[in-house]
Amino acid sequence: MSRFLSIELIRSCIRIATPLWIGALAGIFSERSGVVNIALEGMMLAGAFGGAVVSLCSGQAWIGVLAAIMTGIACGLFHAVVSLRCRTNQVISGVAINMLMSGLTIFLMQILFGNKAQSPTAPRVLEVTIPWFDKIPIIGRIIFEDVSPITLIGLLLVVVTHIILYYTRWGLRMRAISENPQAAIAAGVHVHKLQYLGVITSGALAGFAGSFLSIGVLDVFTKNMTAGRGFMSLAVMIFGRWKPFGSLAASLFFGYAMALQISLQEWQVPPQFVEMIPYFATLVVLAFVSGKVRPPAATGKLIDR
Amino acid sequence: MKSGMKQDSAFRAMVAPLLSVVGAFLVGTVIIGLLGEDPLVAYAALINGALGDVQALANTLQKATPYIFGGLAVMIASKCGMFNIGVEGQMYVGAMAAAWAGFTLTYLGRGAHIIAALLIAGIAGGIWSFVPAILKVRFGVNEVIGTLMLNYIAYSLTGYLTVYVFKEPGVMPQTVKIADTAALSLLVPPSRLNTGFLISIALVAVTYVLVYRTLWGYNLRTTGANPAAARYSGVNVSFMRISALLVSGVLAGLMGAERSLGVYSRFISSFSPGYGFTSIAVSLLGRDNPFGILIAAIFFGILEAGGPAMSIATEVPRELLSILQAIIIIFVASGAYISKMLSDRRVSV
Repeated sequence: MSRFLSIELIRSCIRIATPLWIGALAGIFSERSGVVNIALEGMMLAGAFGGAVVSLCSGQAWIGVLAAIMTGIACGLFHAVVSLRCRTNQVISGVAINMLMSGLTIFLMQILFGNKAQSPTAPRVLEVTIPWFDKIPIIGRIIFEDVSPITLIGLLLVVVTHIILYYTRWGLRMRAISENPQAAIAAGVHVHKLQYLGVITSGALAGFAGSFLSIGVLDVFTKNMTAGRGFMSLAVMIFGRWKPFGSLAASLFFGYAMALQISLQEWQVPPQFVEMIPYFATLVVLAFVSGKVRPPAATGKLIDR
Repeated sequence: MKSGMKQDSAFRAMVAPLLSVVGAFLVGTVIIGLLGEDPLVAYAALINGALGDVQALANTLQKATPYIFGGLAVMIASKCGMFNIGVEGQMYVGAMAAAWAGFTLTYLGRGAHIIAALLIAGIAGGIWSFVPAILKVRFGVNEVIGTLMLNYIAYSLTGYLTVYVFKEPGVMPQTVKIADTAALSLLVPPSRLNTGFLISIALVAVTYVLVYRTLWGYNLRTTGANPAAARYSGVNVSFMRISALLVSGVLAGLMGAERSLGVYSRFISSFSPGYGFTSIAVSLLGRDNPFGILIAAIFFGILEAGGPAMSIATEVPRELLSILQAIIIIFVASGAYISKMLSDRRVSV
């Protein structure tokens, strides 16, 4: 039993899930604004790189995190301009950004550090223990003891995103754009302005998620270190039905499967089978609840002004 | 008159990709200049490394081969209005299936063995694209998501089979070697360019006929252009979508087979540097036309084969070329907008 449910296991599940749910929130802002964001992978990678480099140069991990967010914003702006202004297919723009960032980060590593595989060690965001809260039975040890501040901010962002999406004018308009853009236009919504905002916010969050990888859990940038987490975030977002709390739950499920894989190694369960679980689950959920789980109706469609 | 118009549109179709390539290389020139290197030296080394002698040329074509298969695979789905992001996974499954046939069906004679291995690889790739096809048609699951998820399942599955079932003793995550009877013969040894390249060339012609000269191809393009109109005119849209993804997956499976049977002589876990994803770029650059894809694939082969020579002759990292590939995609994809912008300006002047 303890093998399937120990505090250590849950802690590592949360650690693995952190970049996934933050990435999924990034996906939500973009897709709920009607723009497909396959580029999450590249944006995260760019954020991880920008974060590590600036943390290294400034000696301050938090300035690195800020830089990661700025890098993400730049990527988001790029995706927005290419897919909204130049009206390029959004999936193609995403594929291009992923290719670009994979090449560019390695290229810059060679130029800056003379090493294509990894950067020098950079200051990282240290874990904290929140006083008082860490005394709460069980929960305290899971969430408030020796935890990365990025995880805590990430949890806060889930709440914030939920509030934005369902209790603010911006959120209402976002949802309107992604479901019925013509109605939104008729109601006088500046569709393109909000779409830019959505995609740029998406980039910022993706960059933030990237910083967790390079200067959160680790203290270096290694080449292609996102290793599919951007795509996984998309799966998390879909599994979570394009909702913040749903995405959080989905990411914990993914994280649990991956944490379990490490803990089950002594049982001789091939890790590859455990690795497959989240993707199978996503497909099965999509297939069997298809009536209820569907993307926002107009996501990916070009909107005429 | 009519043929004149046709020539004109063919010319126009060529212009945007060519301009995009030129534009990307201009960007590259600036980057190389900023690094304090001579762009001409870098590009000369690139061209020389890719086309300098027979071996270099063969190596370039070898690198281009997966992109020919992959570009065609993406194209078939795209003609039907779908995105097959899963070429990567379908290729992995095909590569594993081909290798399995290569070291298992050893009782077959030489010709039969190769054909059986290719067939099995095609079927494996087809199965891998059939799943998202059914998910799309029956359950309404977007094919971009379906094929993407199956990529991961393919990595894990082939990884498992490599490490736990067919592993060659040693530290490398690779299967045992295929029998010689299943090997695609090398065309210009020692280069690994093999008969798989010739198969891919043949498939360029086959897919062209399939798409532009058959009823299936006509229905394919109609469905892609306007599914509602296709449905009203009696086309079975679901059938077209399923069969398009199926053909796409078969091509991707063959793409993997060429690597296993011709280049590595075995299956190697995570052998691909993203062939399936780059194939999307190839199909785009080739304007979703089989012959265009052939040219685009060879062009990408030149970049990859010449890259090492470039980074030896100068201090320019060869990743510059993947940056250029990405820039080319963005230019080509936004070409329609850019040319509209330019022509609008011309009118206003």
